[in-house]
Amino acid sequence: MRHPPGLKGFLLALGLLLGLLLLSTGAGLLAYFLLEVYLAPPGWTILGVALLVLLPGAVALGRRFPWLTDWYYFLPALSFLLVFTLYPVGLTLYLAFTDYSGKRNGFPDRSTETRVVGQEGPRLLLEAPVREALRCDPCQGETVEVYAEGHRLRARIAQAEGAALLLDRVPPFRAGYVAKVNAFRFVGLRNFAFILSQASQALLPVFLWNVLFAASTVLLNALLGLVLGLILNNKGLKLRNFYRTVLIVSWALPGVITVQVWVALLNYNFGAINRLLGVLGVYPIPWLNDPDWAKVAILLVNLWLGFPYMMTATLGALSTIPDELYEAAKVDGATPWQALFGITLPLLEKPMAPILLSSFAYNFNNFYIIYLLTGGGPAQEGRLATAQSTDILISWAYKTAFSAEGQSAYGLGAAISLLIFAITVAISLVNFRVTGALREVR
Amino acid sequence: MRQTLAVLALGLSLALAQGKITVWTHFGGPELEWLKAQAQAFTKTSGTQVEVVEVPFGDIKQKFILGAPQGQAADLVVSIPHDWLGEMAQAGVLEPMGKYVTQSYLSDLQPVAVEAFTFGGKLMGLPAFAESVALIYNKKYVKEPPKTFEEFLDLAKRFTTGSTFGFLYNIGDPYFNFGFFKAFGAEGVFAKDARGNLDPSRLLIGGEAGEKALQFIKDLRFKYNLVPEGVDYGVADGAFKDGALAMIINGPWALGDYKKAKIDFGIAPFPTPPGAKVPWGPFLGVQGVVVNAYSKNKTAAVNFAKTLVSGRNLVSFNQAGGRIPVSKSAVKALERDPVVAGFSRVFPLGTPMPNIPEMGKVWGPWGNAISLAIQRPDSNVRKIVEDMVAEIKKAIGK
Repeated sequence: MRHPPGLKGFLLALGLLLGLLLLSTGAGLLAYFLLEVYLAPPGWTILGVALLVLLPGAVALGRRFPWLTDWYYFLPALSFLLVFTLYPVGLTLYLAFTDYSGKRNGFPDRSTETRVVGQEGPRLLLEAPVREALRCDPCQGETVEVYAEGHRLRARIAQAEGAALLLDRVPPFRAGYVAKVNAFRFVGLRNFAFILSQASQALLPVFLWNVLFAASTVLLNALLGLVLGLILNNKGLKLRNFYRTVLIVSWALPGVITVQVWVALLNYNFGAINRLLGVLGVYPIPWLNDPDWAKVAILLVNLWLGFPYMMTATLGALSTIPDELYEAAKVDGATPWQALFGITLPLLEKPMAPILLSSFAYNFNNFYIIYLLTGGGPAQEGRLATAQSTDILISWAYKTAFSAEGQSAYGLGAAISLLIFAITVAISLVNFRVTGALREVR
Repeated sequence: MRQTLAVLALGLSLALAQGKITVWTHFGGPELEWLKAQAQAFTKTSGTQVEVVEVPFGDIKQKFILGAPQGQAADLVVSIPHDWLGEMAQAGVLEPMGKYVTQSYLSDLQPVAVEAFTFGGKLMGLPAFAESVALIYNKKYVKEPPKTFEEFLDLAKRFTTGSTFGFLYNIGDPYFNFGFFKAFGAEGVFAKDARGNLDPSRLLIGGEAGEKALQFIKDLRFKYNLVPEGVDYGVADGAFKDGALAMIINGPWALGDYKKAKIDFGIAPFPTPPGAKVPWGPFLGVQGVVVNAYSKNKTAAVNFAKTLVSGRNLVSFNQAGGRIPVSKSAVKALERDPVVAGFSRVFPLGTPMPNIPEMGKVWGPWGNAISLAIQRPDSNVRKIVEDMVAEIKKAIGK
């Protein structure tokens, strides 16, 4: 049988390989859970059983579709893709609709641990009243974990009265303790509703500043990079390579360090920049203490960090413009300005457009400069503590998920990430459509 | 060759017989050496191997919560701050310690330390040492610590010159500011219910107490002109290290550097602010040892934890790193140490930082309110406090 042609063949091969991988993983998991009832198998049992299914499976598939064997080289890459890309994406999607968090993580709450003093079938007698000991109200339907040395069992509470607890199943061992499980559950769209309920205090202003930040950063960096690139491309300039090396330094240094140095330089009373301005007779500027000046500070520092990239990109694009064009222009009597606006800039547009767009997408989620330079601050009246004057969407998501809402609100964080994903995709699509960059790239 | 093999086999069988426990720690330097020495001593007496693994402080909580149920976390952690306790207990990874300790052990501990490590009415860890902020003064400028706010203001103003500062501290951080909220009437961040547990629905840092405290913090900048814009932890700490600052609010963690910089310092409580109802009292943080609820070798882990926090070992721990033990007998043995003596006058004024997870929803809005109040001289303190309370209530009520 021959390889089916075109897209159909590609999709068929991919489908078969994915099916094989998922089947063997499923078999591994199934075997693990079946074995778990009788003994405690080590984690790598899953891998072993999966390989036991995968190898004969691959041989059998190869007999049925002989052309597929070439595709087997793709299996390792595909399995990595499954584990490290598709699985987290799937998990994010799933968590966005749950209330999963550090304290609702599906594990028993050990501070509700209560000793079992009597046991008769599914009925347990606790040392204290159920409602207080397990901190549940109503207790019916809550999941609990019953355990003793070497045993554990999950069960639901069928009925609770006083210190007596009726479970929906009989523990097959002598119960020592019982604790409530912090179950997480589906909440539907509640995470999204919560985010949108903060729209006026968080989502909208943060979104506006986010777009402004990304757009101005790209514009400023591109302008400075363009000017410097044009100057450095001039062959008459002496010490060209020296300037190029010096100008690239800010790009070569790790930003994690330089941004923190900038924090010190921009300090209101003690920073070098305000002292310098003071010498020149200018009042100190509240770089990091005023909501508006902080935005300026961020754009300036990001310019310092980002212009070498644009400069290098410009230099690269300039080297693709053939010299004959300029010679022809000279012969026709064009001034240097006319050559710049007639030849250089139009020919730079096409190679630069995809770079500008990808730079926009990158800066749109440029978490580290915000987090390190201002931490989202300074505070602004009428805003939530998680969405301050310079917070962008991604830093807002980070603060919401990992510092505000009970410190590890993975469910809410996942929902915000999905929203950011949707926004970034929408903006990129509009960008590509407007500039036609997608066609150029192909 | 054969002999080595025999020794190895013997060692292996011993290790298998006696088991092995893993300890995660964020200690470094002499404190890490102390822990390793303790581990060796424990191996000698009990035969249990102890492996000490260094984990960065900021990673411990997350790693432990995620790893413990999978069997991928240490058997015990030395040490966690008590304000992580609620979250870790609710995540189910901490072994309740009540059933392992004796009454005489508990009575040797300072009551606030036991309170700090109790969550939901259960002791979830063994407290080891405590820390809080206090007024630290440079004896070059300040001979006797100020008893009243007038004395304090007089000193602070006298030394605020072009090249020196009278008083600086990390003014934007609620942790450093809680003492003022307490002085103006907030006993804690949350009120306690009838059984002594913190009730997250009753917030105490709002209302009149919050307004007065915030106004006082604002006055430190705009009325008394002591703490100018741009002062953060780094600036204040650096100035004190350089000997250019007379008084700072800071904690025991900074004292090692001050000693190294040869600053002759003293420790005292901050004087009662003007118009305050009760004395200033800082947040008390207690660190202690916790045991993994999923540990395979719980008995050995608990025994090691108990040796670590025994009064005698806490004294040697203090000599290693200068931390202030919470055991009464250890404090008594160390009463001639000026740092231990200074802070044991401050601790009784303090309130343990809340250990319930709801506190995580307070820090953000609270810090925000303080930054807003000190941003401009005309900031509306009443509105700021109202917004703060509304935001916290909404987050907690959800």
